[in-house]
Amino acid sequence: MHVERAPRLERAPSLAAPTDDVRALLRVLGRLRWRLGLERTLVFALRGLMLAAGTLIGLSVVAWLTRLDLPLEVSALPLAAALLLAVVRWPSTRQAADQADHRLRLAERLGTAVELTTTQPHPAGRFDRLQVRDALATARATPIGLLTLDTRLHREALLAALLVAGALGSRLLVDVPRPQLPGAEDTPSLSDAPPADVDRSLPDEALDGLSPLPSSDRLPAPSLPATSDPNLAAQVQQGQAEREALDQLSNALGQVSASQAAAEAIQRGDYAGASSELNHLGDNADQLSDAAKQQLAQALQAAANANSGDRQLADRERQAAQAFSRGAYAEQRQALQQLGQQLERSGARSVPADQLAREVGQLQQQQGQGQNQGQGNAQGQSGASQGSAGSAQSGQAASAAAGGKDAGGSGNGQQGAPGVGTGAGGDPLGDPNPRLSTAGQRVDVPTKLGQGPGVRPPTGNEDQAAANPSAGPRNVAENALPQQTGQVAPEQNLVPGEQRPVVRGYFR
Amino acid sequence: MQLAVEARGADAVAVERLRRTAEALEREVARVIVGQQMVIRGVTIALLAGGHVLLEGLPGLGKTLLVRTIAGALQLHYSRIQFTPDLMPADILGTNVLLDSGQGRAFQFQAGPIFANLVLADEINRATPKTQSALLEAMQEQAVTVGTVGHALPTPFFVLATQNPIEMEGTYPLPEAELDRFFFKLHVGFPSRVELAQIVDRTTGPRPAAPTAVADGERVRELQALAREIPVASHVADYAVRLVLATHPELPEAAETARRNVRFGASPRAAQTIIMAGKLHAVLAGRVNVAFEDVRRVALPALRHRLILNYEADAKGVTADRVIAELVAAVPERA
Repeated sequence: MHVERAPRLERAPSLAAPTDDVRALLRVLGRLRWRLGLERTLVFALRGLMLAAGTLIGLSVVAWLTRLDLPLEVSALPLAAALLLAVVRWPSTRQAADQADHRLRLAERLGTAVELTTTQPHPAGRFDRLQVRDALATARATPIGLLTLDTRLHREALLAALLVAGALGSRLLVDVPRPQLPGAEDTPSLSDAPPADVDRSLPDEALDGLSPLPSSDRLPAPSLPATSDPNLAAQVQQGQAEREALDQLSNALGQVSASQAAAEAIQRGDYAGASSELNHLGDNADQLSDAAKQQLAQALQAAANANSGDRQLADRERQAAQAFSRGAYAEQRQALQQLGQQLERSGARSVPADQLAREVGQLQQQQGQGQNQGQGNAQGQSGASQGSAGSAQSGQAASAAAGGKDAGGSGNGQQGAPGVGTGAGGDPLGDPNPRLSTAGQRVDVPTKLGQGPGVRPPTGNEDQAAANPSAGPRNVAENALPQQTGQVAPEQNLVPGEQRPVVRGYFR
Repeated sequence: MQLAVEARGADAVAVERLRRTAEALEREVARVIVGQQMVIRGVTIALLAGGHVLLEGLPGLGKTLLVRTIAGALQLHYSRIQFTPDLMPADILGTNVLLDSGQGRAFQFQAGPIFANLVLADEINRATPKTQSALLEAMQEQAVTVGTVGHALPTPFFVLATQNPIEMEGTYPLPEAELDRFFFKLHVGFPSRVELAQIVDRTTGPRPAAPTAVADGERVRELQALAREIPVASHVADYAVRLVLATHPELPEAAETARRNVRFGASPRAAQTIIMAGKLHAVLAGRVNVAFEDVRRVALPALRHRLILNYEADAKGVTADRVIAELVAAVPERA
């Protein structure tokens, strides 16, 4: 459209040249810029703090569950990155002007003024200076409130506070016992009622005493025979594994003289006493030599690595090994205390030796019912030997496992002598090398106990068969005959209760 | 609202004069016209921006009186053209008449009623397209061509056209090209009860008050030039451009409502209109810069006659006002 222009007034000088108004405007914008920058930094810091707290929570939980030594310093990276990003994205003058226009409701005054003062020199508009003055006057008259912070940030701040509190709480997980993981680590506790279909009443049969196999020579875990109760076999396996774990811990502690008392307590089955000894050792850990600490650490680490039946005990062993390898006194003390506590718990829930022996015997019977061919090899040796490790007769086993001490001085040479079986036949319990093939062979069974402590059958239902010292050498079958008839005096039964299933298997 | 105290000087005085003149004009018109504040504001803005206005409303709402009042307040030459189906272009523009002078006969141009500062084109949609097109050149070029001779129209030149929405019989809808020439399209609504009472009181009593002059043609030209000097930031201009682009369904910047309801979007004149009207709206608001709010306020009258809705919108009864309202809500201030 055509409009006849009115004569123009004298034009204002170009705003490209600095004027008082422009300088004043830049000062105001500088203050706004700092204000906006600090607010943005706060926003970034809050979000970085949320990320860092979340990362710390995650790392703490993972470290707690897996017992891995994770670098928790990594959780500080998000916060550092957020602060760096805030510095990098420091607002420009134009951004500060636009944000101030929006939050302070200045109707684009500052944004227009910034554009007019920063554009390339060109014929300035007539009212450019007037607009800059108007923007400057309005900005000065308007109280500067929050440019960026709003109600949403309040919620973010609250969330950040909650996450930080959660992160601090996650650091306390170290003292919280880990949850029981499902699977092989599940061990039956004493409070668990036995399954109704498992018959735990086993008839005891009299057997001459035979020395148990040392725990270090324990045979591999037997595989489940098709004819045996899988629940019972699993229980037997678990019980054997737990006993083995305790044995290994005892062996490890026995390697250092300072912890010998604890080892012996474990062998006796006195787990509370062993825990007390460990606590006492922890209190005096600063008096141990470096060599002793290293030896103990190595022994505990080896026990932990070999421990496959008690995951929690293995974790505590590993923790104690790490503490003694590099930790300070406080850490060592705490580690031994926790190991002692776990030892008590593991010992309390482990299957008693006699019960384990009965279960093994029952399992043996089930195997025998399912297999008609001669199982004359030593099938129950592993079970009996493991059962004896944790029993009151653990002195023999422990001594055998602790470095070859005399097993009991019976002198018959059969204690602690695993032997190698020459008999053939499959071993339903997975024993590839049957101990003895006793079919038709004479077996010299000691008629009296050795020097080690022996355990009489607790009940009157004892194996009545025993070798008559006055009789001449008899073969195995003849020796077994009184078992079947049950006409032997109980005082002649010299075979410990938990060993009887092992021996019984010899005569099958 | 006045500018900040510190912003004084010749420039500030000039802007303040522009604002006061516009407010004075509105006050004078409001002394005669009851209510219709939005229409008065729209007409004032269009007049100071150098644009033309299309008024749509029922008969008897004071459209003619409005134009007459403005002409009186600005001391402008006013003419009224009543459009009828038999109106010829020459009846509007003028014609060459053979006159017998002392030296002999010669053709002399007799100016038509369009040669005025303020032209009221009443019921423009009743004239034939041929007659309607006679206004095109006048509104755009502010000149008319009769025969081979061009004749400039007086300045300022302002066309205020009216059309009746209910009389569809015997009417000729304005072509899009002519609609695009109008700066604003304003709806004149029916007055409220209180307003109607005031109308009755003013018009049935003693002689109604006449408007007093607040400016003249020269001042109007000055103010029109001043209005063009109001600065507008690039991001605000970009907002206006994106609004216009959003009306085109074939463009990637189109808003969803445009894709559904619009057949043809607004022309670049719409963006010019929005910016010019935004400048004047900013001055009336006491600012020397155009804000996003100014753009939003003037978008509706600037776009409603420039959108061509599709058949689906017509069938669903979707109006251009609704489309523009959705569009303004959908387009963000900053890209």
